[in-house]
Amino acid sequence: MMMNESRSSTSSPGSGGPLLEVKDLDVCFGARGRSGEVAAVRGVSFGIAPGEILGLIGESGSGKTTVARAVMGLVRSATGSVRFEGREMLGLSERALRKVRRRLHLVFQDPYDSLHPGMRVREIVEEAMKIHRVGDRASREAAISAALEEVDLTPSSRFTGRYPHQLSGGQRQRVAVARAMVLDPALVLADEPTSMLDLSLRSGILEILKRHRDTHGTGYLFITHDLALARHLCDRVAVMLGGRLVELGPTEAVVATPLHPYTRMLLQAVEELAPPSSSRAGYPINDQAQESYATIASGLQEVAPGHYVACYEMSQPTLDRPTTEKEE
Amino acid sequence: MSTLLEVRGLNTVYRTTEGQIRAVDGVDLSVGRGEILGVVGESGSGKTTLATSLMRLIKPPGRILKGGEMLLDGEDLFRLPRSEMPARRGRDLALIPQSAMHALNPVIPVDKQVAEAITTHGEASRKAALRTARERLVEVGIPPERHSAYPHELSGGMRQRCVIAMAIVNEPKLVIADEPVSGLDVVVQARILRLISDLKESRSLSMMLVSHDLPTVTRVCDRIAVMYAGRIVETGEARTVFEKPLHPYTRALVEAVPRVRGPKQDLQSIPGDPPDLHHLPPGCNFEPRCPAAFADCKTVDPSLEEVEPGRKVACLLYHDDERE
Ligand SMILES: Nc1ncnc2c1ncn2[C@@H]1O[C@H](COP(=O)(O)OP(=O)(O)OP(=O)(O)O)[C@@H](O)[C@H]1O
Ligand SMILES: Nc1ncnc2c1ncn2[C@@H]1O[C@H](COP(=O)(O)OP(=O)(O)OP(=O)(O)O)[C@@H](O)[C@H]1O
Ligand SMILES: [Mg+2]
Ligand SMILES: [Mg+2]
Repeated sequence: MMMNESRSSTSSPGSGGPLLEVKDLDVCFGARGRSGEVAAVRGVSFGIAPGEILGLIGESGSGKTTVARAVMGLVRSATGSVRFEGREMLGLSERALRKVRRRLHLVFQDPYDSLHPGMRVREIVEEAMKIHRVGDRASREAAISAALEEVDLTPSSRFTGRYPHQLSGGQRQRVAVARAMVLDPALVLADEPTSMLDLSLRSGILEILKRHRDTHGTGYLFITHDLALARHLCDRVAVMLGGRLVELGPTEAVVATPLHPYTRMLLQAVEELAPPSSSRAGYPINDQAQESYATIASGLQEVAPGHYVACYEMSQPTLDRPTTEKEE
Repeated sequence: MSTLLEVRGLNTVYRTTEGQIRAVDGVDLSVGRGEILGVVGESGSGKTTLATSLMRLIKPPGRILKGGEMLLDGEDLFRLPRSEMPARRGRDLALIPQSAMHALNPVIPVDKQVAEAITTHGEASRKAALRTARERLVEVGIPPERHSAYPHELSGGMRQRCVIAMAIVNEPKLVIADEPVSGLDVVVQARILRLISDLKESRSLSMMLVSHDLPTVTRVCDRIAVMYAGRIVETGEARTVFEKPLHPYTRALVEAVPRVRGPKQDLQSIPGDPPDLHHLPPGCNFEPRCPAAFADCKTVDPSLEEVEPGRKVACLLYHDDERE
């Protein structure tokens, strides 16, 4: 058998650090009796090195956005540890967080959330620079134009005076990206930042992210549902299911040899959705199977260098576990 | 297949500081009963403007120009008094907006919202409406224990699915879906697309599905219309368009599709800048970026012509008469 329990205790999956180190992150959303308690994130650990792009993929509701929000210090009920540039983020005061946020930027999943509806594009992009007192007026103006043109909003003068509702969905998303990049943050948490972009524009945006990575050593947590995109962009990918990480490894390894059944299912689903050369009828995707994996996933095991998988088989009652006695 | 929706000569403009732009430029299209028409095109090509125009929800500084027609079941909705539109929306035609997440009321639990969409139109009792609402929520993959959650307590994809449930709950004649599955993971995407296909079969649902994602559109749609700079530049049977694109823009879109399997390739992008609606070229709008352009393309603005039965394209490469 591939998985060996004794290894799990020592290895810390994806200790890519030291830019970001997340350890045993738990987020539980309030009970209040009505819709019950939601364990949105359970024991998630991963790291991101400077200049590294870590993809976070997984089903809807699996906790991806919550992880990003917790890293930003936006989730009060988060426990565990989030170290950004060596500094613990959980429990920081709002004031201390504001300082850190110059080096850490979140691009929200829905561009309506990122962009204040009452502000013009110019003000939206300038805001962060103003808060952090970057540059003077003229240099900020130049930076705004450069950032907008970089995301293909050309000529920038056409867009600076517009309000968010005067932009198309993809244009809004690009303003959100321009705003994120203008401060040259050390780490960008990007939550589905290109979901509304056609492939052509998307590859342009991805080039920008890569360029910042190469020139400034920016690290990224890149949340996406798009495996093909993750494959092109990410150094490593982490797969989430039901609040847990179920697989983490170098992108090519995960795509070529997906270990967790859920990852395999994701890849299979991509193939069924993607270029429609095969049969058009039916989507043989098993929802039941998906749910049962969610309940039995446990800690991550390293099964190949840097490639971790949740040891789902371990918790199946039919499996005998010869090593447990020795460990106790 | 009988025609459900017939749109002719639709023009929608926005007034901007630099003058007027025509975001939808002389669009003709039709959707048959029980048919799914896909509308694809790059960011800013006018897809949302088209969808919003059909709902008659364009707000100033935008405006639908006079002279266009929108026949739904033979009735021209553009001629209806504005005050009659709210009663039609949701029942005759429903929109799944692009930012579905913001279509929800933040202070009402999602099952109640879906139920309200039923009771405002119908005679169903509150109790029956709530039951139907919950059935729909399960169909889009929201587990029962989350039905009474408020929108902010749900993930992005869950909210999007609630809006989809709300749009189909009254079984409107026509659903206009603006990027309904972008931002959803593939497993949920597959489930939603399957649900759409099922509804199409069982209740003969008709749909206009707007997306930037050509493979998705090809998978679920019967026909495709490709938009560029506010115009439809190619239409045809979905798989034929995907497998044998005629317009150079459609060809570029097909070539840009990345693969998960097989050797890793560089992402393709379409060279050149997106069109500037304030300064469109005199000839073909795609000419500045077109690898197949020739001299006439700079001067002749090609119209959408039928080149094979059921296949139309606006490109001089295929128009023998316009070429001379
Ligand atoms: N404020 C909140 N209160 C209660 N539950 C919440 C809250 N925010 C998120 N949740 C729940 O936590 C879980 C994880 O949500 P999250 O938004 O992190 O998912 P996600 O992976 O980003 O999904 P998607 O791909 O759909 O955006 C979901 O079940 C969601 O309903
Ligand atoms: N209220 C407005 N005022 C001025 N211009 C607008 C307004 N709304 C949209 N536009 C412009 O009209 C054009 C078409 O926008 P539309 O939203 O229809 O594009 P789209 O095809 O839906 O793009 P996306 O894929 O990015 O959502 C864009 O150039 C956009 O900037
Ligand atoms: Mg999310
Ligand atoms: Mg749009």
